[in-house]
Amino acid sequence: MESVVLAQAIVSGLLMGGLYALISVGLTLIFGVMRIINFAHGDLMMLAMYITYWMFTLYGIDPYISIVVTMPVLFVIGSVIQKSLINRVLDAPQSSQLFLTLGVMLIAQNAALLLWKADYRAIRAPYTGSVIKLGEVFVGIPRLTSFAVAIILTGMLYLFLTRTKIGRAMRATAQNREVSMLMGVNVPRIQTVAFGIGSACVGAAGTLLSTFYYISPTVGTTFTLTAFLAVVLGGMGSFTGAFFGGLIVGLAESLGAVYVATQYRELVTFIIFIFILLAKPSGLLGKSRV
Amino acid sequence: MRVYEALKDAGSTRSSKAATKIQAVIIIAVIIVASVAAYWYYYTTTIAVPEEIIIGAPLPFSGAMATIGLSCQRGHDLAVEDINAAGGIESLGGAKIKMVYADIQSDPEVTTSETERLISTHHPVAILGAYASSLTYVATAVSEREKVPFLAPMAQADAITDRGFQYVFRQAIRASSVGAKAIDMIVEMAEHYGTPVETIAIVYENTLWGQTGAEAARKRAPEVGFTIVYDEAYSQGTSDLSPVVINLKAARPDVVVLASYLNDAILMARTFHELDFNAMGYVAMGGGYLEPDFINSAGKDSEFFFAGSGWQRDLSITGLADVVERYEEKHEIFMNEHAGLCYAATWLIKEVLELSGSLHPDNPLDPDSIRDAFLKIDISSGPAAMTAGGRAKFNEKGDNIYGSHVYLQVLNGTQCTAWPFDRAAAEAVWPAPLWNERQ
Repeated sequence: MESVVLAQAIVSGLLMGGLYALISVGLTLIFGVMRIINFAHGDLMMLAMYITYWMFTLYGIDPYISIVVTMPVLFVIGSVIQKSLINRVLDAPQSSQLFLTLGVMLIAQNAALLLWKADYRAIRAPYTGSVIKLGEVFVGIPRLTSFAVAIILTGMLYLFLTRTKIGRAMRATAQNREVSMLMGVNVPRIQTVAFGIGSACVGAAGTLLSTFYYISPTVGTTFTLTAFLAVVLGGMGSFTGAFFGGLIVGLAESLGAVYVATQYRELVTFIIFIFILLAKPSGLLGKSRV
Repeated sequence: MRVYEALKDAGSTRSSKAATKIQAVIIIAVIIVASVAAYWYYYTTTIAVPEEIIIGAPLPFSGAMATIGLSCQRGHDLAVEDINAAGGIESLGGAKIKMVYADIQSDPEVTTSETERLISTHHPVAILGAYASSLTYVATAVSEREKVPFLAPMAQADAITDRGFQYVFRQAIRASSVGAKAIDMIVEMAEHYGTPVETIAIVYENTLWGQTGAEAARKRAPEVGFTIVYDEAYSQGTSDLSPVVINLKAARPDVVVLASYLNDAILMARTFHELDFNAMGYVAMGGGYLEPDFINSAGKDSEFFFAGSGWQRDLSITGLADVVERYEEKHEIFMNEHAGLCYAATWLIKEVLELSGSLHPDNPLDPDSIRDAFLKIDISSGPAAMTAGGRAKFNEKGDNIYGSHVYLQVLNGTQCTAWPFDRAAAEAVWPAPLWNERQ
């Protein structure tokens, strides 16, 4: 029985961690390229969840298919936010940047509250609640599918960043904005694209999450916090760091909740967090910056 | 002239005899006139009860609880219509009831000022309100100071009647009894269906409401011979409930007792199904499991969950169906617990005033007369008793000792009253079918 509990806890933690990872790589990409902390990250996810919900409820479009809509829509929303708002404060003091993204967060949440009320909603697809059994371990099919899609998307993003010209330009901008500019990289355009891609990632995560989670205007807040944790754990701005950070946070939450106490799940995560940062102040895979 | 002189020389020994005689006559005359006047004055002012009895209702009509405030108002209004149509308060010469509302904006600070304003401008005879425990707690502090009797139709927090107040009464169940009621329900279910229950688990959200409920269940369980095999709090709005369910499954309780808000309730039902956690009964102390959105969002996974409620539209009480039908026809919306409890509470205050009128005909609207009527009333039929407990009788603290919960079960997507058996509207499904055997 004990080993079943352990196995189940690990599986559940990893499945959740996969989604945390997708949310976190979006956040770390935005941070890496623009050095800006995006408090509205989880709320972009909330928007994607509502898009998914309405497409399913009104037109019966399967959530997994609606990814092809939510990702481009969120890409556009992200780019517009970057071009019209973030761009203006890139050279402003950090506090102004924080207040700006915090403002976007409040506007997004309250607009959602106004448009769709505070009701909790959930998608009931035909496969909702279907389960497969691996030995004694139960795995929800929506969770498993969402996990797989999240991992595939993260992998694709990784290939994009390492193999394509625009991806390399993005990494170059992340490393050093001025030098990239001198090397002929169109930095403002790269920044817009980066914010767009970061938003598309979290949008995809929102859609995937909505197959087994509830939807409400404030649903994003919990996930913003978790993503920050994963990003800092993995090293600010590090892509692979954020990916593993997400998985670690998922696992730590699950194991902590099973073996310590559910109401102290964050405690376990933060203790691990503190120890990793004590041992490696720049995060697991972070490079120390001057 | 003689009188004048006599009075003038009243103190002198020479004419003292005459003076005292006249004085005595005057004093007697004055006393007679004064007592007749006083009796006449007394008679006219106390017996002539105003034609309209004003009842105040501070309720949240805006802010987070706005929709609930509206349901309450509809419940009160329907009751007032019925009471006045039936001839008002008989013992007070058929006086009609008039409700005066104040918007307390779901905000404790506004509640204080609006309740004060309500009392000083309208001088209500009694107050009904103010939905949430937090709002009722502050509203009753004002009404107690102003000596206006207050009947809370649904606030559950123990603290409301634990302050030694004289004029505060509660119709609903006390929060600390909710958990014990859940255990009692499990005992009866197990007996009725011949499925012995030995172990239970308690899973609750870790704010005041969940903790109070869990505490009572934890205390009651050993008294009826249950062993608690898992007792776990989780923080509200957590991102994943799988860990709770994993442990729950390993603990193998016969029945699980739950206290969650709506978002966690949805996640809980889904995670039970996903991780295949089976129990004889999933028994929730109201909260999120009671809301229509629980069924809408959790869908089939919400089937067979029990939830405690202070009122339900299908309760088998004579006359209730008619009230529900008229309400639903008028507003084209399901009559909910809030409207139901407010409807009953309005009738209860009517019955209290009725009793006050017959017990204290000389001064029926005095706060102390009303308090006395509250302490003496014992009503178990008619609209005033259309609640889960089916009876109203108050103790010294102001709690309705029959304040209770009925348990509803989700059956084919509808919540039906399933316990207590004598007021059930549907046959309960106990034990719940295994997840993998449901279609």
